[in-house]
Amino acid sequence: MNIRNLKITNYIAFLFINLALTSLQCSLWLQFFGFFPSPYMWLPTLAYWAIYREIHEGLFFSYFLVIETVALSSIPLSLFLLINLFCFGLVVLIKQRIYWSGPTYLMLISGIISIAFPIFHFFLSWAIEPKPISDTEILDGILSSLFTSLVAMPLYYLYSSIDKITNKSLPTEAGASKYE
Amino acid sequence: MNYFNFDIKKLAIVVSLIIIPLIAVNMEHNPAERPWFVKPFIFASGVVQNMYSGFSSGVRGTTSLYLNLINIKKNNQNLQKENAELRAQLGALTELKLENQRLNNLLGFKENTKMELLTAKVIGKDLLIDHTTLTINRGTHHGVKEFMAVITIGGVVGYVIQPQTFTSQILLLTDRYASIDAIVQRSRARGIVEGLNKNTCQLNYLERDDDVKVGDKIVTSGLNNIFPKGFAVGTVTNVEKSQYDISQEVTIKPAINPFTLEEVFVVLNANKESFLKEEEQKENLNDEIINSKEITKDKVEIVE
Repeated sequence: MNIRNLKITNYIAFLFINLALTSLQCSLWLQFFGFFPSPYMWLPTLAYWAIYREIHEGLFFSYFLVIETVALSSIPLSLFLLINLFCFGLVVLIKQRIYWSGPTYLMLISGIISIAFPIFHFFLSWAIEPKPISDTEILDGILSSLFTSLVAMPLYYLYSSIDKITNKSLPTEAGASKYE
Repeated sequence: MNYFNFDIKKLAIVVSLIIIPLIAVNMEHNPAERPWFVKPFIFASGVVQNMYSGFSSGVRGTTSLYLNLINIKKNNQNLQKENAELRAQLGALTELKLENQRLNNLLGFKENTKMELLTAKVIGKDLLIDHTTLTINRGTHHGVKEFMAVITIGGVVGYVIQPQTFTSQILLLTDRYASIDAIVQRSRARGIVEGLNKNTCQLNYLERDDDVKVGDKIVTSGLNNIFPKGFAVGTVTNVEKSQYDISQEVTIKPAINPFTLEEVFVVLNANKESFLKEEEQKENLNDEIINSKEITKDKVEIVE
């Protein structure tokens, strides 16, 4: 397979996994745990692409990710896009200051952006929406952040194995990986 | 040959050996009764036999206990497994029983109404905590359209916002974007119910003078034939009138908890179904007649 095909396969694989994970968050989680706070399943994917890809590539993919994920919510697309963009920016900002390779880093970053997500949501909702958020569930938000951080660990191995299959070099201390 | 030349000692021994059993046979008058000199031996042998018996039964008991322990362990494992299976079966049966009850209730409701209803199953929730929507397993393929009402036996659930081919998203009554036309059942004061947070709504656009009290039932107005008329929305939990405001803040607790729902109805056609009591319907009709008369009067005056 040439590089372009590998790249497309990589994109499709990540989008497919994201679809499976977010659907799991909305449907399967509901069947087993009801309305108990669920992890934000798309955030580790966003964090992974923000950490282990060039900024322009990660950003490009994040738009696809948002368009795919927004179908499962009633949140306006523009707002969701903006919040995720802020989260992406936050990851890049943190990465420039603190970075180490391995699953624990993805766990940390996923945890941070899952805490930041509701905060960005709250403020951007007040800035953009005609009917902004008036009441937020803080405990639910904390639990969701904790779960997001926990699911990031197995997801790291899954994502790095996809990168390996699609010949994407594994993440290094230097940061972004490239096609071999 | 001397036939009488024999050893006396040997003879005595032989004779005594022969005589003793003969004497014994002779002494045994009652065969059931043992002679006195045998009794100690019987007793002693009994004791020894008992000891042997005790010892052997002890050994057998210990052995069988050990063997039984192995069997007991196996039996215990089997019973535990069986118990777990039975518990699972019981759980499934209880779940089925509850589902059956729920479905029976829904069926009863569906059969006793004029409305054209479509039963749907809740299959998903919203991705985000701050947005309260549900996904149902019915879409445009089944006749679902945007803004169709979604209800359950207990009250209003919300309405359809994004119908897809086989699924639809429902905006719950408690979502901040939801708005449903409603009236206070007792005073007929009209307002719009809007979502506030997960468990509460607000009745907005009520005039300051409108009669509303804590505990009042809020029902649907039946406007545009989307929702049936007089269907439960919730109960007033708080009324606040600020000094300078022209309206009042009315907080409502929804009639149903949307987060426990498993099956809902999509109202395909409300068919002007009314859940108002007969008296209320008469009053409503009178109001409408008076209103129409007033309108006609006004029109006549204008024409004149």
